[in-house]
Order: sequence, then structure tokens, then C-alpha cells
Amino acid sequence: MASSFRKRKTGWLILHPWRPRGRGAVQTPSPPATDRLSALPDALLHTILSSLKGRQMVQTSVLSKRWRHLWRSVPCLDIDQREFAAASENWAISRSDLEKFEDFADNVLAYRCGSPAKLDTFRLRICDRYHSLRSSDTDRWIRRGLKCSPREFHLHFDYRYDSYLLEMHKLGSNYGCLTKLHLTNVSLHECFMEHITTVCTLLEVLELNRCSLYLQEITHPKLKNLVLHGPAVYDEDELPVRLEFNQVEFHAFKNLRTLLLDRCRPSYNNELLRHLLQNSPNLEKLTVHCCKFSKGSLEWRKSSQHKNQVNCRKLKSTEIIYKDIDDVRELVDLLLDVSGHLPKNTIALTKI
Amino acid sequence: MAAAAAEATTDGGGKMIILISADGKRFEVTEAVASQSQLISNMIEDDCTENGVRLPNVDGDILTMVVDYCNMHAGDAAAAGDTMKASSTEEELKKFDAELVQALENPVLFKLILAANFLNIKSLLDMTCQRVADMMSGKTPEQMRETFSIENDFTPEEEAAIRQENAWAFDD
Repeated sequence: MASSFRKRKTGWLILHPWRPRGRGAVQTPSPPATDRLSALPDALLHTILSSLKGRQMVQTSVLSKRWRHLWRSVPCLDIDQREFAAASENWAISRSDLEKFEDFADNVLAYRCGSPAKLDTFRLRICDRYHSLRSSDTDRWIRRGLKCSPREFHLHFDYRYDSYLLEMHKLGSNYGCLTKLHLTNVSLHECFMEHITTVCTLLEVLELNRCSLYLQEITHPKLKNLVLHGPAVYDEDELPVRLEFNQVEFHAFKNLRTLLLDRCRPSYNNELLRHLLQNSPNLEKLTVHCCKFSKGSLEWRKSSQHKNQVNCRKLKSTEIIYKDIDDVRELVDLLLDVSGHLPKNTIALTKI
Repeated sequence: MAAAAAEATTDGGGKMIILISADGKRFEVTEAVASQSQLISNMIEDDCTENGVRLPNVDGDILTMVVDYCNMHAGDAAAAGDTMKASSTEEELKKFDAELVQALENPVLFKLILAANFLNIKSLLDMTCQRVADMMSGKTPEQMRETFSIENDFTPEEEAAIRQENAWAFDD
């Protein structure tokens, strides 16, 4: 490892800055451009490579000797099936593309996990519309990626994957380092939250986009930022995902500072909002995006006992983004009813 | 609160810092603007900015861009003295950043990356590195070499061997 590094260094010093004096300069009237990219220090090239998708990142290994091994120590690994899907409208993926993707994911993870350099962020995105991948493949990649103890993990399915259930408790115990967890279109095992609470004790950010889970309880020692994006589809019959809060047992969210509720359904919201306003003493920003609060769904606002328990003295800003004023009238009334307990709060209403 | 004699003071009371580029150009900025550079922020804390801050590896034209960027992004702290002129809106900032980054080409882009790295201005460094990644994204290795004048110092055999070793990441 050490010797190859030295070799690369000298190669770079000799080759790049002064090379233009060579034959290239004679052939063209203007001096050829200097390769300033390769001249950047490793740490900056790592930052740049962190923004590339995994396949392209590995392909930089043939650029020149300087780039030969750089990708192996990039702190971010982004495995994205879209790099292996021919651009077609319906994302129908051919057998050979699928095999290439599987081969890539296995290999890149094996090489990356074999490198001593720390992996900070692991992203896995699957756009397999027709569920051709086996759950065991996905599980294996997640397990291997998490084995590198990243601090940030993003798992994104482009399509709802009803046959795939994320069972974190079966994926080893290497996710104790996670501080940020972002899941999109994932079905979660019923003990997900409990597991997150006991194992991911450092978790600060949890984002669930269109995930289905039955939340029994939300309680976490460190969580600062909770984002719940509800289902994209409103129609109840077609509702692919449901966030069920009706039996949630709430504890205090002492660290919660920002909260986004996106497209949450009213019948599930009523108790949620009361608990949040009563148990989030440090909440500073609340955003309610396209949620529907039907008339009477926040009936508790009329109870002075409930109102007096509202404890969000630090709440500075409530942003309500809505399509139809009737959907949020109840919420606005509630906020006005309890405004005495929200001394710093400003309410912004945005119609879209 | 006694400001050192060499340092000017704004109407609002914010202390001024003098930045001196490699080619001797001088820039007078408020402490709040300069503190976006973690390097300078540390120097302010250590009280060693009295005679101006010399930046021997940042040219005047690049420092002009850095100072413009920091002025634009100074945020609430800078507006402390003059609340009416408060900080730029988020939208203005986005527009400013987008225009700045779009206009960046080799070699200014790389000089700016090195300056942001040296001065330790994270947001500017992230933005400029992202610009490079965007320029690489979607390109084949050959196209990347062309875009950035990267000289291929592999022999054809060596290159073939690497492609073979990492065949799983290349097209057949």
C-alpha cells in the first residue's frame, strides 16, 4: 500500500505541472491546458468522487496512474441500479443488465470493504420495477455495506417492493454507528423502531419516505430530526403505504428540533399532533405539507386541559403548505387556540 | 472592546479585517464576512489579524471571488449593524451561487477549489467540488481525460489490465 502510494505521488509530480513543455507544446500554438484536476490533493479528489455514482467512480481508475486506486478510499459509496438500466420509460431491465448490476454490487462492496479507509456514507438505490432481484441479494448488499460501519445510510427503492421487507435485526449488528438513516419506499418490520432505538443509539436523523410501518412507539435518546413523508397517493383504496399513529405511545422528544409532516392522513394525525405539541419542548420548526385535517379531527383543541399541556415554547416557525384551505382550517384554528403556549411561533400559509 | 489602532471599524461597530492576496491586493471585510473562513475565524479567535491576514497562495482575482461569495453569504451576523440591509434572501443566494458556479471553468474553478480548501470555507468548497463532479458525471473515461486534459500515462497493456481487473464496472 505504502509503496504504491509513493509511486503515485512521484508520478503526479513529474508528469502534470511541467509536461506541457514536451512535444504537445510544439504541436499546438497555444500551450496545452494543464491537468489541474489530477493535481488536487487526494482529500479533494475524494470529495469530488463522493458525488459520483459507484460505477463511474470505479471507471476513473483507468484515467491515469494518479487515479488508479483513488476510488478505493472514497468515503462515499453510491450503488445505483440506474447506472445499469438502459434508459427506457418503463425501466424494464434486461436479464444481462440485471446480472451486470448484481456483479457490480458484489464486487464494488468486496473491494471497498477490503479497504482500510473509512466509509462514511453508503447509498443503495434499486429501480427494479418488476422485482427481478432476490430479496437475499438486497439483504446481502445492505449487510456488507453496513459492515463498513458508515455513519449515513440511504436505501431507496424506486418502486414499492411489497415482497421486500427490511429486517434490520437480521442484518448483523454493524449499524450502531449510524447517525443518519434515510429510507424510501421500504416496508419495515414491526420491530424496526424498537431496534433502531436500542441499536442505533447515535441516530440523529431519521427520514422515512413513503415507508410502511406500524409504529407502536417512537422514543429515541438522540434523535434530532424526524421526517415522515407519507404516501404519494391519496386515494384510500390505492393507498400503498400507511403510517399508523393511532396506537402510538409517545414519550418526550427532547432533542427534536425540526419536524416535517408530509401528506399525512388526518385520521391518523389527530393524536400525533397533540403528543408532539405537548412533548417536544425544543421543537423549533414544524412544517406541514399537504396534510388533510378534516373538520373535527383536532377536537382536543377545545379541551383546556389538553391545551394547557402544550409545551413548545421554542417553536419559532410553523409552515403550512396546502392545496385546499378546508384541509388545514382545523389546524390553523388549533394553532390559534394554543398560541398562548407558543409565544415565539409565526405561522406561514402557502397555497400550492 | 478597544480595537487595535490598525483596524478600521464599521458604522455598526463590527471590526474590520484586512486580507492581503499573494499579489499584494488588499481587501477590507467585516469580521462576520471573514469568519466564514474557518482559517480566519481561528485567527480572529487567537487575536492575530491585527496587521492584516496574508494569504500567500491566493491570487487577487481569486480572492475577489471569495470575498464576493463571503459577502453574499455573510448571513445574519453581518447584518447585526444594519438590520434594514439584512442578509440576502435565500432565493438571491441560490441565484448568486448558481451563476457563480456555472461561470466557473478550468483553471479558475480549480484555483477557487484550492482557495476554498486553504481558507477552509466548507460551503464554497462543497459547491466547487460538486461542479467538478457534475462535469465528470455521465462521461466515459476518454471524455473525462479530454475535459480535464488528463494525460493517460498507462501503456495500452496496463490500461487493458485494469479494465480487465475491474471488468464488472465497464461495458464489455
